[in-house]
Amino acid sequence: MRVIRRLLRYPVPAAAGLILLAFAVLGALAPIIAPHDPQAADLGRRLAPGSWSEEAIPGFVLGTDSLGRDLLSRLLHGARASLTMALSPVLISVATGVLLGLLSLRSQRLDDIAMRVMDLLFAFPALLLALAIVAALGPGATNAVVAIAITDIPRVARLARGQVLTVRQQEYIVAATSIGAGTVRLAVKHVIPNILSVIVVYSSLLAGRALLTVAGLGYLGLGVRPPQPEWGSMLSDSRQLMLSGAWEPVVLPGVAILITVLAFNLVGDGLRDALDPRLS
Amino acid sequence: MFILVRVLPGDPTMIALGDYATKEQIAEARTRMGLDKPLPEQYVTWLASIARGDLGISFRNREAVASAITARLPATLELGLFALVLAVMFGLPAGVLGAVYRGRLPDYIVTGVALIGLAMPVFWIGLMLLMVFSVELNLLPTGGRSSSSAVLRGPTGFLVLDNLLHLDPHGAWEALRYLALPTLVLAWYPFATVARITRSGMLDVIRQDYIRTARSKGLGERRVITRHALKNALIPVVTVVGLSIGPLMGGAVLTEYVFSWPGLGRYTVEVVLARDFPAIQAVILLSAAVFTSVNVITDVVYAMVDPRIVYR
Repeated sequence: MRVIRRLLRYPVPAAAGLILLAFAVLGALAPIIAPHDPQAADLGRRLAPGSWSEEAIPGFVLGTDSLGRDLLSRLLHGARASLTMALSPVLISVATGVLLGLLSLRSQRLDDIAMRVMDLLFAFPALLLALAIVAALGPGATNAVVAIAITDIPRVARLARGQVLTVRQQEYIVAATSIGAGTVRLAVKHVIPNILSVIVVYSSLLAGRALLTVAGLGYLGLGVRPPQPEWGSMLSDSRQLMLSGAWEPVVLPGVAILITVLAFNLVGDGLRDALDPRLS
Repeated sequence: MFILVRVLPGDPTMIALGDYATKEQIAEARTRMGLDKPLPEQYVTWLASIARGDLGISFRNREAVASAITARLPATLELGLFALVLAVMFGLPAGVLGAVYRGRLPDYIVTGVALIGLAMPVFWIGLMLLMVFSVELNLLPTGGRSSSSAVLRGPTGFLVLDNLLHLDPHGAWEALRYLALPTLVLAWYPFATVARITRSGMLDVIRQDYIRTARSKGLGERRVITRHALKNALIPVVTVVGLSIGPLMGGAVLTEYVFSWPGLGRYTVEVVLARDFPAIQAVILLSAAVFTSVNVITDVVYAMVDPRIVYR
């Protein structure tokens, strides 16, 4: 509650949070509120402009894409796919990364092994590692999520471990250990609550990055399989579209990605300020 | 990498031969590619051939992977170098401007551009620029590295430089026109990062005592900024430029794909889509090698510019 009240003192991050919430709600309600079936193609109405143009087709507010599918419906359903695909790898990598970071509480040896494996993953540029994993697993939404999660795990693990090492030195940890608290109790009761804020801030930035990677993989044809709408894959035939003079299908999905990633980043910055007790 | 590619599901022979291959054809292909041997043996064979500079034969078109990579390397290097130079050339002054005019208009512009720059998908910036400059205004080519009539001439493989060496300013100008949009797109992300870090580095430095000393000595503001502040604010920037290499390599994949740039990035997409494992392994291995070396070099340079850090 205090965090929320503090967050409201920062209007920009709060607004960004509201935008994210709105997109999430719109995406979740897409099957109900979308005016058309996002996959219903009709070449007779292909590349219709939005309702600001005189040539617009009534009922198709943002126009249609190259197959005559309603752009608004595809954007709404795309929000669902894009946000799910951006948040799932974050959940996976945070859960795994924190667990790996906590290994240092239990055993030096396990910690060493885990960190060497992380170093190995760190040796690859993120997008290229994700591409290699998708190549191995085959294209598709689930595999893209797994690929992004794997590239993010070493980042979370290293951050979490650093935090754990700092927290472990604190007197209350020493006190808890001396009254006989086990590793699990130590981790759940004392360590995790104290490293959580840093992890949450980082997760928000990770979500923004994950969304960009999801879009990139979708654009390359390695993410969501067509005809399923996802913001990145909606852009994959835009080179041909441009020559036809239709701008809506090229511009709008990109704007959706831009706003969402920007919102994730701003929320991350805002949370960092709100959770930092030194800034008050 | 080797293990990853082998262990995960997906049979390369099926992809190389198509869905209608007979069992005999598949078995024959597996033998030819050495896929029927035990994994450790495959691994040793693979390591030994890399040591000889042999990156294997592509599953897809039986081309030697090493020569495919060598042929595409100059295009990617040229693009990457131009982008990096552009990013630092504009990122540094932008960051300084943001710090010096903190909380005023120039700062808001720099911070805003950097924030938005970091939130835009690389390929989408490319698409927008293509739409404006190539389709609407018809000013710049829509893709590729040169018109088909242009001759590829040696010795470096960098088209701009090669044309200049052949005293052909028109050819160099043409090459620059093809380079313009991809460079801009690829430079965007590192530009935003460099600007952000320079700004916060400058802000830290400007508050230091020695800056007040320099001012109180009666030095002009310009001299204080360039001589005293910037020099110290540059230290984190070295790291950032080093760290930009990873995103730059990832960005190159998408940028080259958007602009049909005949470099390693587009090659990577092609081989990934075709699941051409020897080629994928080679490309990823190369990128990891470059990435790791750049990180080491960054550390060394960091120690050189910052006398407080001793490199052990």
